[in-house]
Amino acid sequence: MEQDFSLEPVRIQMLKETQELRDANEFSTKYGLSLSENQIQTLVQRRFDALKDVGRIEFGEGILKKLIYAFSDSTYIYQINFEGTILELQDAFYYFKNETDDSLSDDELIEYMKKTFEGKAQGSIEFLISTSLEELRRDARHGFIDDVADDKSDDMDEGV
Amino acid sequence: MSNNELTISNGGLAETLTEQEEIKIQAKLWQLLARRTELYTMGEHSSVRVETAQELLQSISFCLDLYLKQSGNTKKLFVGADMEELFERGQKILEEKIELGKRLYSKACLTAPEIENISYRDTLRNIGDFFKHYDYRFFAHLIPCDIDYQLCHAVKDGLQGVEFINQYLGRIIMENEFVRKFEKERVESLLNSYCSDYKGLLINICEPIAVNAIGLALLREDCKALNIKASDRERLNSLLHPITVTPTKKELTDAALRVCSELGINDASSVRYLRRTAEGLFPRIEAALPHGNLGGIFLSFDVPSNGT
Repeated sequence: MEQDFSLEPVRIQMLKETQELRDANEFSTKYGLSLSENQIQTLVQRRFDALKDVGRIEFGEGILKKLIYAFSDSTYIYQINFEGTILELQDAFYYFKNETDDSLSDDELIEYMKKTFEGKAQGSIEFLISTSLEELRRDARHGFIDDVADDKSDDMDEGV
Repeated sequence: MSNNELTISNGGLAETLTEQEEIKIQAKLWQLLARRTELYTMGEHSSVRVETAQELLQSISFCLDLYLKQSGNTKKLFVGADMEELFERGQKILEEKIELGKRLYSKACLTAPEIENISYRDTLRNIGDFFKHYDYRFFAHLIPCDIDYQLCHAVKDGLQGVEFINQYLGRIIMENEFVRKFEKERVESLLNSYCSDYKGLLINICEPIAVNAIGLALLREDCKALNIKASDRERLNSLLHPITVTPTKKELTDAALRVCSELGINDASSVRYLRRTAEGLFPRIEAALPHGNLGGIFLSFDVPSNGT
């Protein structure tokens, strides 16, 4: 006997995330970046859409806050592309969590994304997703993931 | 939202809960699932695949159900209780069941009859691996081993994890002890008649032995002989004809009791098990009797033909 349950108190999770992003604004402002209330709402809503798209489920705080903290000091992010970049990074993050079979922790994946974004990708999300993360995905599928952090960081250093 | 795909069983406990109580329980389950997921990922992943969350949730549900069953409570308890505490109590019960399972496994191995059958041996070996791979903390409802060997009476539907394994082992032990009451050569002769490749095919060792023993008990013959000759079948044919439900079923169960008595089987579960086998014979006999052909039920030892 099974019954469908919508278990998550979604509203509470959304409110919590909204507050977290407001708090993150205090941090990103140091780099001249901030999110408006509308942008925050869009990002929060997209978090749930992105999770649904890739068939994942998230507990507690989402990944947005970590992405903002990690990418705010990027030389390629400005106020004008801040929201859009964070949105794309969020989508890429969840996609690659699946594609790498969770071989990398959240922090490791963000670190890899940041280094590549600043290095080889030179601020190009397209490059990050289509080339660099595809390499990462292949490595994960072939079981080379343990070497990724070292190998890739060498590559990335060349590009910086 | 992806979590809409999560489902949780009601544990088979009929319970009328108000909508408010249901919502409260769901919120608590969500918190418990979040905590278990955090432990499962060791805090390294804020998200998991829906399939993983579903498995973790089923494990939680299995564990909580176990506690409810053991304590005689119903789901209503969840409304006011600390879920994490109930879950931990369920885990303790699981630990006890695992220890029991290990003891049952040792006994199953020690009582295994010296009859060759690949699926039997493989399954016993695989169950040994179950105890190495069983992750009761996160996937308590799963059975991480292959079980090919078919029991005379299958494990109850719906049993999961170590509960399934323990019941399976309990039944294997009963079957082992029953088979060991008979001479090995006779058992092999009978199994050879039952299926010439009894060593390689997925057959149950106990069932044909039990059936012939019951047949001989019906004739008031020595059930340990196991062989039912053509003349015996003729007598069975006369004895059971005309077949009527109540008297025939009674004859069969009485015969099962006589087998138990002759073999010195006193354990209530083993007696019930054999009685069930006897009762299961009724529809087979009912179908075969009008054709005067009980040869597919009560078997004769194979006699090697000349020149072969």
